[in-house]
Amino acid sequence: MSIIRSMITRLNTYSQLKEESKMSNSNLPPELIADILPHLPVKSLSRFKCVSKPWRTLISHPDFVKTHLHQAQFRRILLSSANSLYSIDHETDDLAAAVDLHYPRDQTQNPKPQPHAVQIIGSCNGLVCIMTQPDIFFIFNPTTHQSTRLPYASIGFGGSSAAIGYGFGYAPSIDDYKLVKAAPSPAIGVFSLRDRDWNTRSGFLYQDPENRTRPGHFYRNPIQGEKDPLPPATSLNGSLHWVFKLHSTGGKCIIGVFNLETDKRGFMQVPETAVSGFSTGVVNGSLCLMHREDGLRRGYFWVMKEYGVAASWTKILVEDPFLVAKPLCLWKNSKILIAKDKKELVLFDPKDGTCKNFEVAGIPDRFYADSYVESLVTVPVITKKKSNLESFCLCF
Amino acid sequence: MSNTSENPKPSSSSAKMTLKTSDNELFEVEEAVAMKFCTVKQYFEDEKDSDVAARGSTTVIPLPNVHSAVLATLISYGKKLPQSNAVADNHEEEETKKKERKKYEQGLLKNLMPGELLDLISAANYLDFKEGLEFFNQALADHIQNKSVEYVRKFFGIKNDYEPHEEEKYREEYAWAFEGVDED
Repeated sequence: MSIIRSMITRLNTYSQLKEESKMSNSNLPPELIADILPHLPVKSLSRFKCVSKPWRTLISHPDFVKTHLHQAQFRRILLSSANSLYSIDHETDDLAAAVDLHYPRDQTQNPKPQPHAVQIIGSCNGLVCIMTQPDIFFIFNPTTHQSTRLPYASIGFGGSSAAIGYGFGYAPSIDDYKLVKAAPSPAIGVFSLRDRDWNTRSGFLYQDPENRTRPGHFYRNPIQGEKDPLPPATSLNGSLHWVFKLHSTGGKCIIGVFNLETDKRGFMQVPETAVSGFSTGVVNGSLCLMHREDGLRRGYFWVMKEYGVAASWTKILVEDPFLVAKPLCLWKNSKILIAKDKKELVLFDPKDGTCKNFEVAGIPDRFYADSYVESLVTVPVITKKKSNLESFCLCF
Repeated sequence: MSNTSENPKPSSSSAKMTLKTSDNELFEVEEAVAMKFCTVKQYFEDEKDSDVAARGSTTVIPLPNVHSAVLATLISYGKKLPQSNAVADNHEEEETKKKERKKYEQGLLKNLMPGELLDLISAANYLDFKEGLEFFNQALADHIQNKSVEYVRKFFGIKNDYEPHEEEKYREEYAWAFEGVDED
């Protein structure tokens, strides 16, 4: 915070030199201006960096970026379909619309439509990680249009690419964004944005304590095709979470946890056994899980009220049949937006369990869904060679 | 907290305080509302320590940095906020009150000149009126959100210290941020 104060002192000195052209009797001191600016959206702030150099310094500062991130919270829905990405303002008072979103592409990429849609690995603090083709990753900020391509992973896995699980998360204590790549093999590939490189961790992502020779495998939803990509991990509290199915206890499922700060692996119990149609997500800072009740055309929405405490799983019956439902985010602080069966968005009311179709103009037929916040977080450019640290600024 | 030798706490509806503005106007305000101005609360608590008998009724709290028009608006806004000592409403009452407050807020902002927002923010900061400051900060942000760089410079009295070629380069590189901006 002392950096902010010294900046404000500079702003103060600067204000004393300014011209007299004012629209009000009182000119606000810089500290008060610094309290107004975090209420603005990213587009306005990016433009206002042009107001003056002290404003640019203030708005670009990592502390300001952090304050803004926690204050503004403009969230958008992200859809991936065919070869397009779409962004949706789901809380607008008008009819929501799916807006085409520019995303970075490899120059050498095959211009013909790819068999699979762009895979959204995850999103944290306004940065989105996508895989446009097998093993080609980009991290980009959809709001500021900054992007970078990741170097090739040094770790490769044999076997079907559909057996590989991915996750993208943020580790607050080390201020780093990480991409994890894992398969049923005793090595995990971890890319660190801070290091700008891949590293390998030994061991499995999840090991059944009752049968260490046979690690759990990533849970695959029964309705998913064998060639469909696995759902990516859910990122929360500096860890990545995947649902695993154990070999030992007749199809029991568990949530494997990979801590991005310590590399430690752990697990959490899922609320019930013998369920299908699992999907996890984060809503309002809590881990959520949805699943279908076997045989019955209805499901449950669970929220883990206390992170890591299995006894705190709280269930709400969902009065709407679904095969797979992924919780996305809160809607107007009252309902929960859910991506259902990869073809529609619904508003789920946790008070009575009802679901209502959420209309979006121009919504594609089939899609993968996620969400992101609008933020000022910068994306460092990663060049092929290891670049100088001075030319690189990782905002918090 | 209460001591058996002190007077029992009066009900909030009867306790009033008097605030005096920079232009020597006096405002009689309910204690519950005045306590939202933390500067006033601090002053009152300091006074209370020195003279128990003079609780509320005769103390006039000077606010030399706040003009009457500005204080009137802040008090009016403070009254509409949920009172900390009020009886808890049921959900329906809460929703109705929320809607009423939204309507009041919209009406309030419609009648304010942008320059007045600056005075309100300044005063709310001086009074340490947190909810008021949040509200008016957001209102000012909403006002300037789609404005041009030139408007913002004029509004806050900021001198442009970019060289023309620097500014041009920035506008080109961040063209997306300059789209759809209000005409000045």
